[in-house]
Amino acid sequence: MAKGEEVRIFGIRHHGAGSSRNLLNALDALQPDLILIECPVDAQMLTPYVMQDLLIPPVAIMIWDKNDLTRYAYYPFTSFSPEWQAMQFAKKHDVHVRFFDLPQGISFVLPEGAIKTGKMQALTNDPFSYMASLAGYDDPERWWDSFIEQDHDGFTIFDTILEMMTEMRAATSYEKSSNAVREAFMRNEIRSAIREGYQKIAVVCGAWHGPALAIWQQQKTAEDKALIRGHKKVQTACTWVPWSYNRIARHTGYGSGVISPYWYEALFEDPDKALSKWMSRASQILQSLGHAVSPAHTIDATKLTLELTRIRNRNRPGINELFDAMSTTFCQGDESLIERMRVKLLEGENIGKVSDQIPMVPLYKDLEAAIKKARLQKDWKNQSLIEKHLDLRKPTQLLASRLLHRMFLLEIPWGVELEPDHNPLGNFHEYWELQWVPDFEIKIIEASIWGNTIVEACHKYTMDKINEESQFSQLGQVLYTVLHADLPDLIGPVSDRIRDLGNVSEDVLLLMQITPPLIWSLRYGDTPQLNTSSVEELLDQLLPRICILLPAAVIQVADDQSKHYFTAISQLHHAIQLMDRDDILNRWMECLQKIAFQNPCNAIVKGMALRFLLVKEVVEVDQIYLEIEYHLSTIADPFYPALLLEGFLYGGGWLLIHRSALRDIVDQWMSSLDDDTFMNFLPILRRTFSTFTSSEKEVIYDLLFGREKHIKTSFSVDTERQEIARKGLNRLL
Amino acid sequence: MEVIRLHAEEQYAEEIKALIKEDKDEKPASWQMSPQQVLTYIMGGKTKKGVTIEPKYFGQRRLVELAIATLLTDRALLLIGVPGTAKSWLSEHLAAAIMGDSSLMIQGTSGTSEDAIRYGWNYAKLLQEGPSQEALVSSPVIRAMNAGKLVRIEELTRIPSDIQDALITVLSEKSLPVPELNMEIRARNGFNVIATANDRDKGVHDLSSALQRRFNIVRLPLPVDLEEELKIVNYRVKELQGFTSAPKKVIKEADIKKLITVFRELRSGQSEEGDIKIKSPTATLSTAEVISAVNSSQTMAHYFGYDDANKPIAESIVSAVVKDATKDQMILQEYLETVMKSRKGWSSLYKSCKEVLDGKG
Repeated sequence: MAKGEEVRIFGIRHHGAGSSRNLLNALDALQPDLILIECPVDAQMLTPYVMQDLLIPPVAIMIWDKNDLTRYAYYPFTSFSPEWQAMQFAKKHDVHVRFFDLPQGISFVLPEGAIKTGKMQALTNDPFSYMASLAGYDDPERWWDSFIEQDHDGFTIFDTILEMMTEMRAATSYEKSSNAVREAFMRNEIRSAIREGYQKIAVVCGAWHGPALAIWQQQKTAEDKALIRGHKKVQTACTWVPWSYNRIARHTGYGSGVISPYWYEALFEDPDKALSKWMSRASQILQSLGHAVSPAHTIDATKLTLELTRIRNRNRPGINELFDAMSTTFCQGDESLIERMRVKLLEGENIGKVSDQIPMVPLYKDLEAAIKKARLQKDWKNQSLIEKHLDLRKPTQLLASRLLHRMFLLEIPWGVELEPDHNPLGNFHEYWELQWVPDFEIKIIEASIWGNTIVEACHKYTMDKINEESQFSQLGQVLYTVLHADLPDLIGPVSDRIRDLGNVSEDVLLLMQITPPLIWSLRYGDTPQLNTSSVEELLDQLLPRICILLPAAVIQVADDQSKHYFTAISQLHHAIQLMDRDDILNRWMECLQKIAFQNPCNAIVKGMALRFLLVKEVVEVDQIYLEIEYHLSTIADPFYPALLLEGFLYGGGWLLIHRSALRDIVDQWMSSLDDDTFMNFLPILRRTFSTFTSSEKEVIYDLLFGREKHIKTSFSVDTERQEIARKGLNRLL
Repeated sequence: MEVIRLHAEEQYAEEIKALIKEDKDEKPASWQMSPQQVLTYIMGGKTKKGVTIEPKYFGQRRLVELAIATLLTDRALLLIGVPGTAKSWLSEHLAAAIMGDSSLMIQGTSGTSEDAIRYGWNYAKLLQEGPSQEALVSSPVIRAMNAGKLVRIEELTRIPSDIQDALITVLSEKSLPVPELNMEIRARNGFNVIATANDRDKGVHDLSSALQRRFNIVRLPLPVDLEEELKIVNYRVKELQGFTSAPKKVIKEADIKKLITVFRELRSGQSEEGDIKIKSPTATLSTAEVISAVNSSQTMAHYFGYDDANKPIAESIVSAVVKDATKDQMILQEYLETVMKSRKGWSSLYKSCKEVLDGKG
C-alpha cells in the first residue's frame, strides 16, 4: 500500500444482526470510497435499484441461466443483513458499491460450484455457528454478542475475526476448488479497484473468505489470473424478487443458520429493547390465537427471561430462554400451544416488496398478461376470499378457468375449485374461491425455473412431477386439472402414467375415486375438440379392473371405510351412465349383480347394489325382494338389516312410494322388531329416512297410516306392535 | 431419637454447607446460596474444591433452571405433572437449597380448610383475651411470610377451588389481611410459594384463572428413556434402603431394567422398539411405582429367600398393573403374549408372570 491506499477486510456472518451493527460502526470509522460486496458481478446492474429505494426487504437477487432456467441461484437479504446495511450505508454517504464475486455464469458450470453439500459447506458458509457451538452456545448471534463486547474502534473485532479465520483455515485442510477460483477472482477485483484509483476500500465478505482476500498483495497476480482463466461461462440474467422471513428461516442462499428473522431484526434495531419487543409480539400472537394475555403476563415473561439468562450465565437471552419463559408464563406448560406459536414467531410472515419498475422474470410478465386477458386484474393480489362463478360459454371466463387450473397445476392455488363434481351434467359452470397469499409471488418466481410462459412451465413441471409421483390418487387430480387447463399435450403422458401405476395398484377404492372425474372430463365443455382418446383408452383399462376387483373388496369392509365405498360406488355408477357405452355399462351391471347376491358382503354396499339393479331393471324384481327379505330376517348380526336398508333406501324415498311390495317388506320387518331392537336401530334408520324429502316422507306416512286405507297390508299384527311401529315411523318421518 | 425420614436439608447438610462456603456469585435477598449453586445442588456435580454433589433430579436441566428463575420473579412456582414425576421431590430440594428449610409445608387434601392456608385461632386464648395476636395460630404460609421463606403446598389441586383462592391475595399483594385484628401480615423479601399438582388423578380441582395467572407453570415430564429412568430408580432405591433396614440380596440391574421396560411399555402404549401397539392399564405406572415395585421385589427376595429374581419381580408387576381385576388382567395377559413372550432372554420372566397371573385368575 505504498500509495497510501487502505483495504479493510470485514468478515461478516451472513444475516448476522450483530455483524451488521459492527459493520456499520466500522464503515463509519473508515469512511470508504468504495464498498465491495460478496455477490456475483453479473448482478451488478441490480445495485442502482437499492440506491433508488425501490425495494423493501426481505428481498433476494435471483440469477438464472438464460438458456437453461433450471439453473438458478438466490441471494436473499434482510434489513439486518450486513450486505444490505452496507448498501444502505453507501446510499446514505454516496459511496460506490460493487459486487465482486465470481460471475454466477461461471459458478453455474464450475465443478462443485453449483452443488453445495456437506459439513464443510456449513463451516465455510457460517464458521461462526461452528465456533459458537464449540464455545457451548446454541445461538451464534449470542456468541457474537459476548465476543465483541470489547470492541472500541470498530476495527478490532474484524481484525480478530481475520486472525481466527486464518487459524481455522489452517486447521481444516479441505478447501473447495471452486472457492479457490472465487477467491482469486475477488482478489483480482480488489487489485483492479486500486488501479482505478480508489483510496479506501471496504471489503464485505463472508468471514471464511477473509484471510484469502487479505493476501491480495502477497498473492501473485499472474497466478490468480491463471486460476480465473479458461472457465466456461453461461449467459445469465438477474432481477430482484420479493422474499420472505419464512424462507430465510428455512433455507438461505448463503446457507447461514438464521434461526429467527424476527428476533434478529429486533436485535439489530436495538439489542436492549429486543426482548420487550419480542415478548409484546408474542403476546399479540397469543391474543390472536384466542388466549387471554395481559400486559402483566408480558412483563412477567420478560422478567423470567432475564432471570433465566442470568442463571444460565449468559450475557443476553437467546431463543431458548425466550421460549422456556413463554412456555411457563403464557402457555401454562402446554407445549402444544408453544408449537403453534413457534412457526409464527420464529419464521414470521413478513414478505418483502419489489417495485414494478424493476424488470420481472419472464414468467411473471406472461402471467400478468394472461390475467389481463382473463379479466382477473381486480382479484389479482386481493387477499380476501372471493367467490367466483365462471360461465364457460363466455370466452373470457373460459380463459379465466383455464388460467386458474394452470396455476393450480403449478401449485400456486390462487383459486380453488369448489366441488368440481357437484353437477356432472351441467358442465358450463364452475364455482371458485379465490384468495391471494403473498407467498404466491415467490412461488411464481420459483415456478419460472420451469419456463418463461405459463404453458411452458406447466408442461415441464407436470412432466417432472408425474414421473416423481407414485401416489396415483394425486395423478387423477392432475389429469383432471390438465384437461381443464387446456393442455392437450399433457393428456397422453399423464394418462399413460396413471395406467402404469393403476395396473399395479390393488386399491380398488382409489381406482374408483379417480375414475368419475375422468369420465366427466370427457364430456366437459369443449373437450370434444381435444384429443381425448388416451383418456378413453385409460378408462377402458381402469373400468374392467374395477369390475374385477370390487366384489372381492367389499366382502369385508371396516365401518369407517364403508362410507367411502358407498360414495365412490355411487359416483362411479352415475358417471358410467353418462358414458353412453353399452359394453361398459353391462360389465358394471354384472359387477353389481355379483355384489348384490354375494354372501357375505358389506351391508350398505349390498343394499346400494340391489337398489341400482332394481332401478335399472336388470334383474327380476322378485329376486331382489327375496334377497332383501332374506337379509332382513337374519339374526346373526343385529345391525345388518338396518345397514342394508340404509344402503338400499339412501335418498330414495320414492322407492317406498312407488313399489308397494317393497314398502310391505320394510313395514313388516319394522313391525316385527321388539322395542329394544327398534331403539337400537333408531339412529341408523333415522339417518336413512332423513335423506328423504319432506314431501316423500308425507306420502309414505299417508300410505301407511293415513287417509288412503286402500293399501292392504298382507300381514296381521297386534295393535300394540302397530302402535310401536307407528310411533317409530312417526319419529322417523 | 432416630426418625424414619430426614428432611432434605438434614440429609444433605454437608453438601449444602460446602456449596454455601464456596459460593462466589451474588445471592438474592434472603437466599442462602446463589441460583447457580442451587442448580448445582439439584443437578449434581462437583464444587470447585472437589466436594461431590449428588444429583437430586435426573430430568432436563432447563426445567430446573426455569423453576429456579421463576422463584426470582414475582410469580410463584407450580410444578405440574403426572404422579411420580418428582414434583414434591424437586420442591422439597429447592426449598432445602434456597432456604435451608423445607419444613414449611401444607399438604393439600379435599379436607384442607382455609385456616390451614391463612390462620386459625387458639380458642382458649381467644375466649380469655379476645382477639389478639397471641391468640392467632399462624399457618405455614404466614410463618413463611414473616420469615421471608419459601412455603410448599403439595397437591394444590386437591384443595377445593374456593379455598385455593385464599392464596390470591398472598401471591398478588404479598400480604394477608387479618380483619379481626385490623391489621395485615406482610411478606418479607424472599417469600414465595412452590406448589405441586398433578393433572391425571381423579378428584382434582382446577385452578381458577385468577390463581393460575399468579403461577409460572413448569411441566415435569416422565423420564424420556430407559437409562434416565434406571438412574432415578437406582438412586431412589438406594436411598430408601437407607431409611429401612436394608435387604442384603440385591436384584441385578438387568432385572431392574426389565421391570422398568415393562412399566414403560405399558405406560406409553407401545413396545420400546415401537412396532407393537399395547393397551394401557388403568394404573398410572409412574416412576414412583417402579421404585416401589423394585423395593418390594427386593424385600421379598431377601426375606422369603427366592433364588430366582423373576418370581418376586413378576409378583410386583402383577400387583402394580392389575388394579381393575378383569380389565387390567386382560391387558396384562395380552402384553405377555404379544410382547414379552417372543423377546429374547425374557422367557423365565414371562413364565413367572404367567404363573402369578393364572394363580390370580
